[in-house]
Amino acid sequence: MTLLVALIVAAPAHNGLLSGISFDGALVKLPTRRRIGSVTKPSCRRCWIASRIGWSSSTTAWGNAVSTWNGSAANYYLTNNQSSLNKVADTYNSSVTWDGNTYMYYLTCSPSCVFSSFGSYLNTYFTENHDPCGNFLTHDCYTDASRKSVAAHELGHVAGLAHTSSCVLMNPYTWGSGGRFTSDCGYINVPKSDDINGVNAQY
Amino acid sequence: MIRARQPSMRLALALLVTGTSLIGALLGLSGCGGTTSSSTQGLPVSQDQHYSQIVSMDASWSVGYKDLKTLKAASTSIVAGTIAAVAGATLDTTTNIPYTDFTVALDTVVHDPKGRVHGMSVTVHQTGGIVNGVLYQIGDDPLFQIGEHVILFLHEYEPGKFFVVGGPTGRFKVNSDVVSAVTPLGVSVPAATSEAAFIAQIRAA
Repeated sequence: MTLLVALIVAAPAHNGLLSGISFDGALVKLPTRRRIGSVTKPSCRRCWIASRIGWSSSTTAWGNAVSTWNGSAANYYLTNNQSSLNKVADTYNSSVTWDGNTYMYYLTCSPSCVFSSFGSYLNTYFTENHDPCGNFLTHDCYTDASRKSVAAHELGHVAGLAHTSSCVLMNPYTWGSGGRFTSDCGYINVPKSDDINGVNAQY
Repeated sequence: MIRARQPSMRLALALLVTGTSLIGALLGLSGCGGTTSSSTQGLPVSQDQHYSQIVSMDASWSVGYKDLKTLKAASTSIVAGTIAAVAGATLDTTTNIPYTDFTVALDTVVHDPKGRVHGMSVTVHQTGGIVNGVLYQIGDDPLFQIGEHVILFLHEYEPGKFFVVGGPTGRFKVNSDVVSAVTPLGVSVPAATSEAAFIAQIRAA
């Protein structure tokens, strides 16, 4: 609890608005502390999210990712509220190999998990091509389409999906042999039927 | 087939960290702002540490590697050794994501064509850590544990500091002289492959 309070206090001011998000005022706001009845339940069926994003391309990526999930057949919906504890954002980190990362806060997990909030980040070291790109030892250069792939993947985690190795959105690798955004997999940046079924099996 | 995340298993494992103790650094959450702060104090985390709260993380990895040749080519150094200690920890106060530096005591420098490894240890940087008794770790790339024997494919991102290439695809465990991959989505290691045999495969790749 102390940590949660500290994190709320430490959260910087929001400095960006998501684009491309349809706002449905009829949605009921997700309780800040949503109790998950079963530990296998996902975290966030209807999430209000806020953004604090440095790069306009990141804003575009998150907006496109939200739109693709909201426009899919998944029983999963995200909408924008700048006061939400749930954040989508970007960060710059050249000492890691992830291009996207999502964390989930749980207040407790005994006997079941109580979801608190999440934060999802694009790593602009990769997504803005500060890391060398364009040769087979590294990866292709990131574009709006591949940034959307990363952001949509992270929002799949928010929906409660785990990684899988097949050519679906929840493939954990953007590039490399069999990566989701390669010719091997058809440059996936939208939820595939398996991703959608994975969400709908739980909601 | 998509599998739903199962926080119960992950959290249960995390709540009861067994095996060799992780000598962690306790990080302080330091106010507002966007700078990365270094840890200010270190406390031992006991072998059966119970964490009051869990923060699970899931990453999209920029690149994954499924064959040794490509993985080797993408690495500045490849080493075999034992996770010996926590060398440091940091907290990015903008994202609230912690990072931990581990000292790896080396048994073998498998591949180091540019001479990046000096001495018999390296510092390896990993996303995750322990913050005020809360365990943060990426699901498919769990925090190293002290005493864990590993074979690591590394990239030197600044002098003397390395990260594992390809997320969990660049990380292998050695238990009782048998090598296994940390993730089933990377290089396939045949059952009962010995450390010596795996090192020979790497050198030949």
